[in-house]
Amino acid sequence: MKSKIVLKGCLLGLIILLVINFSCNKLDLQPLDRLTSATFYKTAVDFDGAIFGGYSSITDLWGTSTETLNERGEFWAISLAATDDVTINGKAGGGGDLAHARDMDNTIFRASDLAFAAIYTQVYEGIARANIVIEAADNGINELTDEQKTQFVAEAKFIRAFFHFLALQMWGTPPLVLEVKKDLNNLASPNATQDALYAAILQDLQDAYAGLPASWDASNVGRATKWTAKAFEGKVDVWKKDWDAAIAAFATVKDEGPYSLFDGNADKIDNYLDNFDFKKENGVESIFEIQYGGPFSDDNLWVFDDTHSENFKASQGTGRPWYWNASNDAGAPGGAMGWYIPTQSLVDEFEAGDPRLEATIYRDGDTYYNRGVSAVPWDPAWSSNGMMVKKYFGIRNADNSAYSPNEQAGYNNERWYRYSEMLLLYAEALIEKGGGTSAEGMALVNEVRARVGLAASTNPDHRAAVRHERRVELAFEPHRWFDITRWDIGATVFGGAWKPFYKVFPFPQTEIDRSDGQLIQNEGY
Amino acid sequence: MNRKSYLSSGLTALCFLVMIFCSLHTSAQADRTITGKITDETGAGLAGVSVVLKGASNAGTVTNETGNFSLRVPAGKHTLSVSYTGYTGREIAVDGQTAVNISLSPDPQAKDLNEVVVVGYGTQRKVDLTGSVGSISRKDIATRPVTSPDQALTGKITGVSITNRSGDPAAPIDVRIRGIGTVGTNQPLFVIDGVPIVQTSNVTVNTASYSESNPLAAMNPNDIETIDVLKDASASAIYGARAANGVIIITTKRGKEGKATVSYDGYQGWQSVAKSQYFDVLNVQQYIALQSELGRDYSEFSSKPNFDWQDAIFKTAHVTNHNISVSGGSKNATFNVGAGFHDQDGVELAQAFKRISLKANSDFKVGKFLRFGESVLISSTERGIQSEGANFAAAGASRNAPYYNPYDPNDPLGLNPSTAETRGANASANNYIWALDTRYNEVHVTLRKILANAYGEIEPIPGLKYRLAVGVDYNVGDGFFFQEATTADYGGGIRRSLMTSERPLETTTNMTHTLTYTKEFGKHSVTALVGEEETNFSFTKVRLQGGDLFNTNIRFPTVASTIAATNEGDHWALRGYLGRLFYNFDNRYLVTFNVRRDESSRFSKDHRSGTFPSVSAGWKLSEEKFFTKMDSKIFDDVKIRASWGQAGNQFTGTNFAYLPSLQSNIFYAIGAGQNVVRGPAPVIFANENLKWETSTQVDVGADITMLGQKVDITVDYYNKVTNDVLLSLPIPYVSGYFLPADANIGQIKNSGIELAATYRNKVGKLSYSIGGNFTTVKNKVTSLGGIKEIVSGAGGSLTHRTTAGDELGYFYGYKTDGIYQNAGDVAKALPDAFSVGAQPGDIRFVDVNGDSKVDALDRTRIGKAMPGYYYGFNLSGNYGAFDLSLFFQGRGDIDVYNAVRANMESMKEGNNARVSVLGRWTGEGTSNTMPRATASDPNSNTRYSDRWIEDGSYLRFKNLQLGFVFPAQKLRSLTGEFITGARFYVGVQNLFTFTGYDGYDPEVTRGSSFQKGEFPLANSVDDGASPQPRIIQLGWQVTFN
Repeated sequence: MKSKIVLKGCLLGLIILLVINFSCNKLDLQPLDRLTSATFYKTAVDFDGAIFGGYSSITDLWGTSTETLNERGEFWAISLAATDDVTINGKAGGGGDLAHARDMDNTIFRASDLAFAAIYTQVYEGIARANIVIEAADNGINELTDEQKTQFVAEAKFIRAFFHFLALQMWGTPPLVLEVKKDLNNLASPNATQDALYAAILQDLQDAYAGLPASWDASNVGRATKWTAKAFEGKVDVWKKDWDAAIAAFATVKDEGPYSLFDGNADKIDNYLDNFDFKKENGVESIFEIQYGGPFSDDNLWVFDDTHSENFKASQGTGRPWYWNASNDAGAPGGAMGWYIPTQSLVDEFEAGDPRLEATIYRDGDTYYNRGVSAVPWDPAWSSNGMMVKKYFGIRNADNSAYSPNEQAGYNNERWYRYSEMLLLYAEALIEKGGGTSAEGMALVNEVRARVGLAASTNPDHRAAVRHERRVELAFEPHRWFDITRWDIGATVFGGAWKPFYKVFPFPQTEIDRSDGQLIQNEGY
Repeated sequence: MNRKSYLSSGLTALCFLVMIFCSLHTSAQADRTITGKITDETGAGLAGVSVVLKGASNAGTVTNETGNFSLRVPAGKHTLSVSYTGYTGREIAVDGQTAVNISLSPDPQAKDLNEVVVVGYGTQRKVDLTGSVGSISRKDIATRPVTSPDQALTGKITGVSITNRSGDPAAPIDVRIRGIGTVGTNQPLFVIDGVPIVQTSNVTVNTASYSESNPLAAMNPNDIETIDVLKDASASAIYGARAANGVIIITTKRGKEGKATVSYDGYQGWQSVAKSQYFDVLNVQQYIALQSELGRDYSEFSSKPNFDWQDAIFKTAHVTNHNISVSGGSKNATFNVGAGFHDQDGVELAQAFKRISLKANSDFKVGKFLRFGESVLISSTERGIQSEGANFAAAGASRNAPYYNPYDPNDPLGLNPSTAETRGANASANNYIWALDTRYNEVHVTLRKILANAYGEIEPIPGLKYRLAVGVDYNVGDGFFFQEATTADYGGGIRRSLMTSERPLETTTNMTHTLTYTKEFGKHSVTALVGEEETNFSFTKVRLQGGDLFNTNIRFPTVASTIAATNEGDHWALRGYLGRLFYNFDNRYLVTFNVRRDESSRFSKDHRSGTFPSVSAGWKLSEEKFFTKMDSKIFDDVKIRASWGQAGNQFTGTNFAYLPSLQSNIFYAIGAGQNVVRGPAPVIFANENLKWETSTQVDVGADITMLGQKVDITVDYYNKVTNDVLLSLPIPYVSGYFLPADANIGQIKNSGIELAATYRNKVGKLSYSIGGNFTTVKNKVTSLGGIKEIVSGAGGSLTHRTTAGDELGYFYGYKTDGIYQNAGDVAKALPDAFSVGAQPGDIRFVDVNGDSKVDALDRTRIGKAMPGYYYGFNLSGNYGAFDLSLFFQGRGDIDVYNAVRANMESMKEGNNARVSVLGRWTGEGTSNTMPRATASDPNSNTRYSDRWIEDGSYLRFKNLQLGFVFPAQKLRSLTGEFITGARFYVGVQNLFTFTGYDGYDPEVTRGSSFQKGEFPLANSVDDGASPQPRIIQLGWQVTFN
């Protein structure tokens, strides 16, 4: 009897052991839908991808999202709605969504405004992605040649400098981040001094100049070249008010670089319009453009592609048609919100006979074009002051392929830095160096004027001349706010609404809250 | 399939089942039928009582839900043997009569003695419990109009708090056991018939917090026998790595030996929202006047009639519920098979829920040593959800300009587009009628579930059992989001057609080996258990999106002109070794040891395993000689318990959060052809040191029965400390990451007292019982590691804060101190970082830190976002054939952020407002609470402040039910012995809510956003979800011969 029990017990034990032994589940699992860092950053193709990730952060400056912070193309609110060039359309659609853009327009800036958090996020995301490339170039497992390494690091440094410079323009003394953050307990960074920022940015741009190619093959057009880096170096020097360095950098680009103004059209204004033509992206005048393309995947405008929890990707376009095209709510054809419209102040800035006015702004008597809309008379009732931005729109961009099928996203590149802007910066540097006058500088201003058929400037105040030229030539390109703060003309432009501390924006309140005292809020906010 | 065909197919299935089981189990011919009712000491019918014809082993039955039975017997004299757990068995001689009513009384000795409670991997006699376990049985669930099993727990068990995210059927439900111990998922582990259920919400579409569904709604509450809640660590530690939030074990009905019985029950319900709950909004004239003050001229609409938008969105909705089940079996095989159909519309347009379910359980004995069995649940649910942009429709629509009418007979769709002409420029008016019309906008989620478990048990040596159980939880979801192309703007813009479809596949497999040994020797009794368990989870999802459908009669994304697709997937595995030792000495001293060691794939190798021990002891005071000697007649049973133990939590917000990984769906366009290329980059900070969260809990309690079984009292004190809290830590953006990082940070304590008491008595024909339960929760974050604070909120907002020393996620904002009445007041205003100049009529914000300026540092604690106590109480009675029950539930010491009111009192935009704004400041002394109307709001009066924080306490008359049981004999003779028992009842769910809260419903959970899942750091935010509806219910329970 006893032996029977033992036998049964042994048999049972054997069964259990066998079953458990055969069934043992696997605990070393790898993600199904993601790459791991340990297997990536090996080939040149991997590094190309890592670099594109960095550029992608730039596109999100104009991102629209319901998932993250409820961004609505915030960089427009910051760089344009806040200025005297753009105001909010009283006939816009979109209800409360544009409330904070209206605050910007009313020169109301608060640390809690989502625009600042939205841009801050993308700036440091881009910097982190650049730092990852720089670090991975030395990870010891990649198959890059020394040449490839130099080039990838140079490109990453350009991206890092681009973002640090934007941060400097926005916040004055933002943190400087030059390495990949790895310690969870030490993720915050303190404010950096302007000296440290300028030094780091210029160093990165010089390294980029040294390591980047002079041009890219057709399949890589749009990536930064050594000339992009040099042109940025000059621009940074202008902000630093280091006129000699700026002049030297611009002279190198002008003399040795590949850029020129669009010219040679019979009708001179076409030279200007070539700049914003969807079919002429990355043209001779283009120093740096933010690249958009599509349609690809779903053209969902409403998500940042990087952080959406549903893991589907957004359009690779901007919401420009959605926010800037004439308001459907006010009766215009097409499904646009028409939030932003030009101001009379900007119109008044154009001198009589400047053809760029008609190329830049829709006004009464004009003919309106849109995706799939043949020429119709512009109806001033479509906007509360009868006007709408025309740059990036108009007959040349009525092309269907420039828009997503739902008309919300546009695939026309953002011209971030044009050669004509560089010429004007060059002129400014010369004029400032000359204590407010420079014939050489005025020659550059006149070069920009001549190609649209305007006579040489007769303004004896060279500083005023170059500032005037910048405002009209670069209207609706993302520079005006930073010109106002750089020239410190806020009180003139905004009158009583201006407060001296508006020279820099507030750091996002979330960031102050999370930085455990390391990041100090800008004075006044 | 349209609605009608669902209904008919459901009913057909039910009829079919009835036919099968009726024909299979028609019993042998007999000479007569004895019917009767078995009642308890209160006169209430006792379900599941075994009634056996003495001497004839095969002639027996069990009573149905109303306590009625029917048994065919041969001619002659017989004796019926009646037995029921916890009651004194009776033997009744029947001599020719065909009707007997038998009343059972609780057995003072045997009372509860054999009543078992399901604990992990086995059962335990309730009297032997040394841990804290709360239970409800089918009685508490069956006739309540609940959509899912978890909802049935509301107010029933101490320590368990249930909060519905919305009154929309099948909306997610927060189940909290003894407070909030973690920042991630606080949902307990649900184990259904031995299969652990993964509490994630992958089955949804266009995921946002407001389109999530409750995965447990796939289960028919009517299939449930008991729900046992393992509250303290002693009870739950055996579930190791997933037990930190407590464990809820659901056991479904199984068959009992005896003749097959068929029972059918169902109800019809009508749910609605009382008009008194609607917001009072401005009428046309008032709205135009306010807007004119804000600089918008809508005078052209002044002659238009008022449109009641809330009335247009709220509706009276129908609920239908049918359940049929067959149960019975022989000595060697028992079964219970049930089918259910549930169809419930929501109280707002476009909300709907439907479930068809089949449940089959059986158990077989083979030979002397072997037992096998299985339980299978197959269900299909369909849920209609309000479309994106039309969520919170009633609250949203109440903000429409009141003259805006959604209908226009001249429009091709008969609807009124929202344009500057129809509503005025910048006026707010969405055509919600269009937005909620599923012909144009539809979100629909289907879930098909198979939850199955099979076991085999062998007992080769008496007392030694080996059991192998294999379970699977298989879920196929199919959700779609559809929008029709429109050429006019009804509030959603002009747009092309779009179809998004998502198909998630979720599989959990579970295998458990346990070896149990039970032995009694002398005064000693021992039960030992060892086991091994493996769980594998996998999930994949394909998403298709198509724009510009070729023809919207074909609702597939692939007939579109632009088609996109993505996949996602995740998996994890868990392996655990478990053991338990229970020792009982002389029925006086009880000790239980539990231990479990788990290894999880969710952490790196170095941090993968965790060991979770627990120990508990009980002392049955009433079994001691000195106690019985006292013979005070006050106490019947007294047991004192104490426990200590640990449990873990492995769930973080992110999968593979420890592993540096790259998101590959990042793109950029490059090259002359503007080709879209991938730019892989990390989007989450990987924390290689991530590990378990561990909670350590102490529980001291007593179970007391008094006054001759009339009073039951259970009291517990608990103290639960969670260490290494798994936190989605919002990290500085300067790190390069927008998303929070998973980390183990700090310590959270939850402590409190639970008290439950019942009193029952009988006076003449009236028997009644009164019961109540009360729980307090004191939550305190005792450490946040080195972090000063976590400021959080839904959708990037900053509404909540967590700091060491306070409770988790309290409301954090500005304090207000009245209104600047005149220029003198304004002159004294402090500099304010969020104001660009105050004027009379603006709000004065408090300089909390006294630094003579108002800025972000003056934000302070302005409210409590979790309840400090909650309770439930019930009253039930029987008088003859009538039964009545009343059930109340409530909570207190909690605030709610009324985001809806904040929006409707902002007096800025073109939306309609609450009538409260009529009392706004219009000049000195006119108001000290409601500021002036200002479109630009330079002072930021609308900033997040204590203006929007309200007391969220409530007491709800949750359920009232009046039933009538038909006399069994009459019923039998009337129906020719076809129907053996019947009860009809009328009920009202959510009859009244007593609250001072100024919104639809203070019962709210997290703030809504596109971040899915629960969100304790943004809790108690009212975004205007549907209130809990009042349901008027007409029900019946019938048993057939």
